[in-house]
Amino acid sequence: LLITASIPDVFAGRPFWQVALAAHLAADENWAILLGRRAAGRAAGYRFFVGAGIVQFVVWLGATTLGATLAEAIPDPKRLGMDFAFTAAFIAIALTLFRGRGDIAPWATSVGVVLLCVATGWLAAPWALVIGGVTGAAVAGVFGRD
Amino acid sequence: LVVIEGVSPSRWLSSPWVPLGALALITFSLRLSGALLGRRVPTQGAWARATRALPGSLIVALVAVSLASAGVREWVAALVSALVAMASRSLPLTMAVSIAAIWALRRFT
Repeated sequence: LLITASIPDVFAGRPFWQVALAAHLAADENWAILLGRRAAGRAAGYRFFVGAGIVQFVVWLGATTLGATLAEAIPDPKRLGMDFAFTAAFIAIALTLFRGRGDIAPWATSVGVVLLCVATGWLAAPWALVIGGVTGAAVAGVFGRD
Repeated sequence: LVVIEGVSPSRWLSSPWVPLGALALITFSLRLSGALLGRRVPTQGAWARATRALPGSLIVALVAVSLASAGVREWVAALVSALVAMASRSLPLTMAVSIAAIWALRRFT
């Protein structure tokens, strides 16, 4: 919900079936590369989002099938550090999204809320993620300047 | 449970396709409602600022979640990732160096 709500311009002026198609293909990764491309100063809209979504869908199916077939040949993904690839990718993407000093307070709020939620065991990780993201955006909305 | 085979709802309800279908429906409705909701957000003011800040906030929250229950090694590797990302601005390179860093940290420390 938050991913699709955060990119209203991608859906603006599109007929319902196109919105539904893009919503169906929406995922962390095509969202992130869309934002990354924009941060690099290049245009990226509906076509980019849907195109990346289709590529991701095909690659995901192919790669998971391959992974399931070859799983026994790989000793232990965690020992090879493969589990960390995801975190590293999102750190890199976060840095490309940084727009300046105005982002410091919202981002610090997000991180603080997440760490507090997880450390106190008050909320499970997926909920901590949602609450952290929303409070960060709320800080930008209430205290930020245009 | 004594039921008449073929008529009982317990038979089709126990099919794995029922939870799968329900989850697919919920996921799709959430994504679609986000798209419809986003179209109604004004283009100026506090709501617009919050919407524009949402992608960044979500991504740092995502990173925080994956590091929150991790150890010191992961935090050190995350610092390496950030430095490489800032210096190189390259996603594949950052991922490769980070995997090498976490592997080395887990192997030798």
